[in-house]
Amino acid sequence: MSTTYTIPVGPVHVGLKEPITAWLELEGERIVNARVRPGAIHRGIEFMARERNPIQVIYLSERICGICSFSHVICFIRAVEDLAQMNVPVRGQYIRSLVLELERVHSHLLWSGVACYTIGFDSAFHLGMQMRERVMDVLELLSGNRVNYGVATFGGVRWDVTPELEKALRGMVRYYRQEFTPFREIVMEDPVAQARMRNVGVLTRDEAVRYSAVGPTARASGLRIDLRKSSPYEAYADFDVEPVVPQDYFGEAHGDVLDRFAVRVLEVYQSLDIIEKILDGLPEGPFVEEANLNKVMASLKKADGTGWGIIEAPRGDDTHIVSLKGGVDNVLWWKVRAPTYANAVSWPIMFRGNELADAPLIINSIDPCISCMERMLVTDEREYRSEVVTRSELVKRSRQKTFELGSLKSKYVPGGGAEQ
Amino acid sequence: MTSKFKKMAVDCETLVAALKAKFADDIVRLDVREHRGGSLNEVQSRDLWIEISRTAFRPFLDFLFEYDFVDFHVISGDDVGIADAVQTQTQSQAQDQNPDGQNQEKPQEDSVLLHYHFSLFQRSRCGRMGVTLSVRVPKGDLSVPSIFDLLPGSEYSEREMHEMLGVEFVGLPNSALVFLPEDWNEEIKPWRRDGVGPALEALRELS
Amino acid sequence: MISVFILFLKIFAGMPLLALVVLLALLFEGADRIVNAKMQRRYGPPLLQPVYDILKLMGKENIVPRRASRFFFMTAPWLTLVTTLMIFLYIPTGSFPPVLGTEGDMVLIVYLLAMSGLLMAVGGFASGNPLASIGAGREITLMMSYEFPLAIVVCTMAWVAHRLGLPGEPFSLEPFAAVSVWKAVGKTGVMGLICLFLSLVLVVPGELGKGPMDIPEAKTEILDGLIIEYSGVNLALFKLTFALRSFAMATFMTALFVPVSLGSLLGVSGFIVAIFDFIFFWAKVLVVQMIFVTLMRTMFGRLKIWQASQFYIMKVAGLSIAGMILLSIDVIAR
Repeated sequence: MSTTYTIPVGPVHVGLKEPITAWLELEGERIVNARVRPGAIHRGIEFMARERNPIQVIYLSERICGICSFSHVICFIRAVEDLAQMNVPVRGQYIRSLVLELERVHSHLLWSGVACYTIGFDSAFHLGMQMRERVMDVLELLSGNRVNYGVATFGGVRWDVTPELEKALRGMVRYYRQEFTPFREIVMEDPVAQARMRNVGVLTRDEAVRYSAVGPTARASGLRIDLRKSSPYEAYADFDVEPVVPQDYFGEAHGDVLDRFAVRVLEVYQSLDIIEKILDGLPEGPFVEEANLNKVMASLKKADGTGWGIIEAPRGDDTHIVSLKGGVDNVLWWKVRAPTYANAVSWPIMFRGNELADAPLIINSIDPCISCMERMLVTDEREYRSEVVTRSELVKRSRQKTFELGSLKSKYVPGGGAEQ
Repeated sequence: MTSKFKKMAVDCETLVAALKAKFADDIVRLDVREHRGGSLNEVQSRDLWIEISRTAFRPFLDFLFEYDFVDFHVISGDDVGIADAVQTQTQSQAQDQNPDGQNQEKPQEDSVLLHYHFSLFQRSRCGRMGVTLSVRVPKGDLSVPSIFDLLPGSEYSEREMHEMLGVEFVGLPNSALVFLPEDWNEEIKPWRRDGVGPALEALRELS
Repeated sequence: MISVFILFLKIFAGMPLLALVVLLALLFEGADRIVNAKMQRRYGPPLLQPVYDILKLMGKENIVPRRASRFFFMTAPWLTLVTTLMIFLYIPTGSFPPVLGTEGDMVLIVYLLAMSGLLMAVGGFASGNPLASIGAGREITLMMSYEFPLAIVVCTMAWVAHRLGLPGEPFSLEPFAAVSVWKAVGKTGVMGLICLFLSLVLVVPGELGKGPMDIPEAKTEILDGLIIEYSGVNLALFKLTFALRSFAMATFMTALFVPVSLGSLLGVSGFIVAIFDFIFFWAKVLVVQMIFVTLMRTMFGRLKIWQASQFYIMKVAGLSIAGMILLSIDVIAR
C-alpha cells in the first residue's frame, strides 16, 4: 500500500496545549512529510504595542504567554533598559532571577506532566500537575497572582522578598527535593515511557545549530549553550550556571524526546540550587531604582534608539527588540521572538521517519508556547464560505441564537409566548 | 555541515578591528554596548550594533561564519520612512566617533530597516557577543539575499518579514504566510507605515 | 420445536441477568474511575457517574457525518452492544450454570469478543473520518496480535479440562466453576497455569483498549479514534459496550482462573449458599477488574501500535506457548 493520505494534527487537538496545525502526510502510520502552519492564534500583539507607552507594554508583554509570562516581561524590560541605559539595584536583580527560576521550575513541571499525558501516562501527569501547585502557591504569596505576576518594572521589581516568603521558598525547595525524585524515576525508568520517548523526534547536534534550536531542545541535542552562562544577566553574574546537557549525565546525547525530558527534569534540580543560592546571597538595599512611574515615564520619553533584551527563558532564549523615539510616548516598534518561534522551524526535521502516534509528542517536546487570539474561523462546506469572526461578533451571534431558542420554546409554553 | 561552523573565538576588540579592516567602506554605523550586572557590576557580555550597506551584506555574513558558531535569533525590522532615516543617520554620527561619514551626502531614500540578530562565542562564560546586523533596504527595491542556505532556522523570520513588511528574500524557497490568516489580503503589510499598511478603518478592536 | 421453545425460555430467563450485568458493569466502571482517581491522588467522580453519562447521552441527538456510510454507522453500535451482552449468557455465575450453557462454549465467547471488537472497527470505518479509520485499523491490528495467545489459553484450558475428566461438556466453562483447576493439576501444571493466567492478564488491556494498549482510542493522538464521530445514543451504546467489555473480560477471567466459591470453601451446598455464591462471584469479578484492568491502566503509559503488536506476537504468545507445553507435560505424564 503506497497511497498517502493527509491528516491534520490541530489546530485544536487534545494532545496540544495551544492551537497550531501540523499537516501530516501519512503512509499507514508512518509520517512521510510534514508541513507546519502556525498563525491560528496570532493576536498582533506587536502591532497593539504601537498604541501603548512602555509601561503599558510591560503588562501587555506579560500576556504573551501564560507560562513564561515573567520571562517576556524581563526580556522586554531589559530591552528598554538597554536602550535607555537604566540601572537596576542588586537586590532587584536578585529578585528578578529568583522569579525567573521559580518560573522555570513551574514551566518544566508543567511540561513534564503534559509530556506524560501525551503518551497516555495519566498518573504521572496528575502527579506533575499536583507538584506544580506548590510553586504556584509560592508565586501567589509573592505577587498575589498565579499566572501573570506583575512583579517587574523598569529599574527593578515591584515586590520585595519578605521573611515569610523566604520561609515558604525554602520549604518549597525542600518539598521538591523530596517529591521530585520519585516522579523522575517513575517516568524515566518506566519501560513504556522509554519505549515511547527513546529515538523519537531526533534532532542531531548539527541540525540543532543550523536550525537555530534554542534552550532545552538544543541542549538535549548536545549543544552546550545557556545564556545564563555565556552572557550572565541579572544575578546570574554571581553564580556559575553550567548548561545541562545529556552527555554529562548519560554518556551521549541522542537528541530525542527522552533527552529533552531528562534535560528539563535535571534543570529543575539546577533551578532549586540557584533559588537557594539567591536566598543565601540576597543583598540588602533598595529593590527598585525609581518607584515613581511618572518620573520613569518622563525619562523614557526622552530615550531614543533600539534595545535588545535576551534571556534564557524556560523554553530557550527569549529575544525582544524594542525601539523608542525621543519625544513620543508610545513604543515605536517591538519585536518578540519567543523560544518556540525558533524551535518550531525544526519540527519538520523531527517528524521525519516517525509515526502518527509520535506527532503530538514531538510537537509538545519543544514545549510549544503559542499564544491565543480572539478570532475564529467559521466554515460551512455546503455554502463554500469561510469568514473570520471576532469575539464581539461571536458573543452577538451566540446571544442571537439563545434568543431564538428562547422564543422558540416560548411558543409552546402556555401563557409565555411573545406572540400573545 | 559541521565544516561550516568554525571554532575561532576572539575578544571583542579584535573582532571589531578585523571588521573595520575588512569592511571599512561599507560600515555605516558601529557601536559596542556593554552589559553589566551582579553585585560587582562587572561587564558580563557585549553587544555589537552594526549597520552595513546592502551590497556588503552577504560577504559580511560569510566573514562572520569564520568565527565560533553563528547562532541566529531573529530578524526584526521597521518601516523607517524618509524623515526617520535622516534623523537616525545624524544621531548615529553624533554618538560614535567613526569617521566613516561618506554616506552623509547620499540622498536618503524611503526605506525599511532590517536588523538581523546573531550570537557569537557562546561556549565560554561571559563570552557571548550579540551581533545586530542592520541593513537598510530602499522601498524601490525591497529585496535582500536570503540566509536560508546558511541557516535554515531563519525561515520563519524571513517569512514573517515578508508578510509584515513586504521585503523580498531572494533565495527563500517558501515565502508563504506564517502568522497571518490564510485568507489575508497579501497586498496589506501590517507593519508598514505608508499606504501599504493597514488602513485605519480596517482595524477592528479586539478585546 | 420444543428445543426452540426452551431456547426462547432461556433467553427470557436471561433478561434479568442481562439487566443486572448492565447495571453492574456501569457501577464497576464507576468504581474503576474512583480507584483510578485515588491512585492518582484525585477525588474522582461519583460512583454513579457512568450511569449519569449514559442517561445524558441517551437524551442527545445522533449526528451522522455527511461522509459516513449511514447504515453501518447507525447499526454498528447496536450490534456491538448486543454481541457483548450475549457473552454473559455463556458464563457461569457462582454456582449457577450459564444460561445458554448447552448452546455454546468458550470458543464462542472468544468469537463474540472478537466480533464486538470488529463491529466497533466497522463503525469507525463507516464514519468516514480519517482519524476513525486509523483507529479502526489499529483496532484490527491489535486484535490480530492478541487473538493468538488468547486462543492458545482457551484451547489449552479446554483440553486440560477434558483430559482431566472434569465434569461437564468439553470447552464449556462449567467444569471450571465446579472444580478448581489449580487443584486438579500437578506442580508443573500449576506453573503452566500461571503462564496462561499471565498471558490472559496481558491480553486483557488489548482486548479492552485500556491501560498500555488504549491505542485504537488514543485520545491525545487520534482524538478517541473509533468513536470520534459518534454522539448521542450511539455514543451511549459505545460507552456501555466499553464498560461491558471490561466487565466481560473480568468475568471470563474469574470464571476460568478464580474458581473459589463460598460453598466449596465451607463444604456446604443448598439454594441459600448458591445465592451467596452468586454475590460472592461478582465480588471476585470486582477484585479481578480492579487489579487487572484499573491497576494496569493506571500504571502504564500508552504503547505504539507496532510495539504493542510485537509485544503480543513475540512475548505474550511465547508465554502462552510455554504455559501450554508445561500443562501438556503435566497432564500427559500423570
